[in-house]
Amino acid sequence: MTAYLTRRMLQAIAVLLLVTLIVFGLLKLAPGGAAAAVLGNGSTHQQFLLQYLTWLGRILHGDLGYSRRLNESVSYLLAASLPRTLALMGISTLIALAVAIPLGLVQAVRRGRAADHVLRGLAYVFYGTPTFVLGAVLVLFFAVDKHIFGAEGPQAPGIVGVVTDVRDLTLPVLTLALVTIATFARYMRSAALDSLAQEYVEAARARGAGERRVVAAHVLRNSLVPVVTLVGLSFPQIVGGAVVVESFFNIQGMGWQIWQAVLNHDFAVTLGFTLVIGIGAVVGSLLADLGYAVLDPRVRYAQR
Amino acid sequence: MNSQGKVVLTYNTSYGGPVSAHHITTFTELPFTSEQTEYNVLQDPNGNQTIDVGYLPTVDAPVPPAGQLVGANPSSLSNYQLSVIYPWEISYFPYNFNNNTGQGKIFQQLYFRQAFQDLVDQEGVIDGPLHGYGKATIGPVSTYPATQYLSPQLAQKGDQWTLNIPKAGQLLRAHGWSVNPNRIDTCIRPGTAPGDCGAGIAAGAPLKFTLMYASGTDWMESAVRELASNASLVGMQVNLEAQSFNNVINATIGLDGEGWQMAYYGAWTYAPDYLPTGETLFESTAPNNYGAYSNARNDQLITASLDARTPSQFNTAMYNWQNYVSAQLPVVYEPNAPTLLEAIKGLQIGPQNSALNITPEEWSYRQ
Repeated sequence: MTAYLTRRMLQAIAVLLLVTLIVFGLLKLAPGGAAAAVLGNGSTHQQFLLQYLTWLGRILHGDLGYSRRLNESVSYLLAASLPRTLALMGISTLIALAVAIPLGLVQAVRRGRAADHVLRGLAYVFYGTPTFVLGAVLVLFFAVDKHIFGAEGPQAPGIVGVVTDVRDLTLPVLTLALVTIATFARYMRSAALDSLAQEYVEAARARGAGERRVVAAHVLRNSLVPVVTLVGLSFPQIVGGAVVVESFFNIQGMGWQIWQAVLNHDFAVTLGFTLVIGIGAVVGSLLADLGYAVLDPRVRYAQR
Repeated sequence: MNSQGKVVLTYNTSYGGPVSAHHITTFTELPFTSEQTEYNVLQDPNGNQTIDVGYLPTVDAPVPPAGQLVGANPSSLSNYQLSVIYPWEISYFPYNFNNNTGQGKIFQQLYFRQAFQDLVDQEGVIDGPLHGYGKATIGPVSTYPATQYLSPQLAQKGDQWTLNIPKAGQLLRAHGWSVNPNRIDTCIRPGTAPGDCGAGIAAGAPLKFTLMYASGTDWMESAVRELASNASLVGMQVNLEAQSFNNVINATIGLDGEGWQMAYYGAWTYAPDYLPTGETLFESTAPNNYGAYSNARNDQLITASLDARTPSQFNTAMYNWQNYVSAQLPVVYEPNAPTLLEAIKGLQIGPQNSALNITPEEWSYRQ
């Protein structure tokens, strides 16, 4: 396991270097900016590499750069944006998991019955609804009409302030969670149906195990592998934020900040935030792999 | 001020000048990611952040009754009083006459600018996405608020380029373009004789343009989409490119080179140079003549207005200049949209000035 982890960590570093190199290159190709107007858009290959290595050297010393547009360090902007995004995306993902796993199981166990049809229909509706439409409907009903929840996301600076502001956190979390539940539940249903058709389930039933035990002990665990993959793939979003929801709910989180940075040619912020999102993607992928090993011993055997 | 854009100003207790007994003690500016987000919060009186003075997007405003300047407030804003401020500005977007990808030569043709203006439906935008709020731009001086600077002849004529798609098509056809609705027109009679496409326009040159616009304002997005749709009906392709306000400005002042074609950043407010004379926007050497419009007669008329010695001479010179340049269409005229200000009842913010300056030092609150 240690050798496997070491190998994956080295791969992760290589991936991150590649991501930064690509983003650095793409940003260099983008036109515009005051410096470009003075110095010209073109630069030699040597200048590019030199700039990249200088930036990389600063990163290794903990300096993510400085935003001239916002007159703040990228680290400060990250510290301001990341807690909001982590709270928003993390809580919505946890809620989605807590709801989608049992929903998917119920659908699979009751396949073809009324509950399955109703839940599948709802999943299709939420899966196909854009977040800005869902957010607008929720805001109009719960905030503008009923004044139960806030029309914007939490504006508190720290993660504690964000998490404890239930009134303002509810609608953005609900908007994201409803769409995510629909996605996760569909994967869970499909995986559970596959598991229910496996021989080990038949064997458990033949041994006299009750339906609840079959589902809880055999179907659930084996059906979680695709969901773990999905959660692993969601990590870049959990770190990087959801631009549409953040913009709609006035949350200056990671997604909104990086979108503004790209629009305004804010080189330092775009690079710094991309690096953090890249780390999120790599960590998510790593955790997903570890999750497979925990859930399915065959994966561990295969690694030996 | 923090990096999120929140600004907090507090009352200066050392100030010894006259102030209202009920003056406000703190003035906080809140950042919003869009006008719709701000409107959502405005409608939520129980929110953690309540707004005392906010803005009503025109697309959400009830249409005012005919002949009235201000309409009713939305029912969700019953605790606010609505006021309408027409800034001292003109709304337009420039052509880049210096464009180096071929379109600049087309923009230099007056017939093209006339045809293009015929495709702009200012009245439709005012009645549609602006919900009855707005005034058509007809030249370099705003028609509202009414001032002595506006040429009476122009004021009488009003908008001379109301939407007229067939006329736009005829103008193009009469000047050597193959007008094919929903296909891209091309120049079929290159040359400089009457009825030809014009100087510098090669055979086969397409009527294909990119209009960069500042995103984030709902009515402006509707206006440019309608313009692109109208243009397609005479075989003109207008590609819309949504950008941040900063990027549009960067492009128009040349930071991205001379590749831009048309750029709509909003409006020009005549402040702090309140006189709407042409040397800031329309003279060949004007610092804010981003599209590099150049016309010797226009320059002479601007100079005459600046050289005027008496108010009467000045007005005459201004009218002469406006009557000339408005017909030359140096820019694309778009509707002037007012600011719909919502102030919570009890808050006195006084008359708002047309330069949209905020003066919280004069605000007071009494329940």
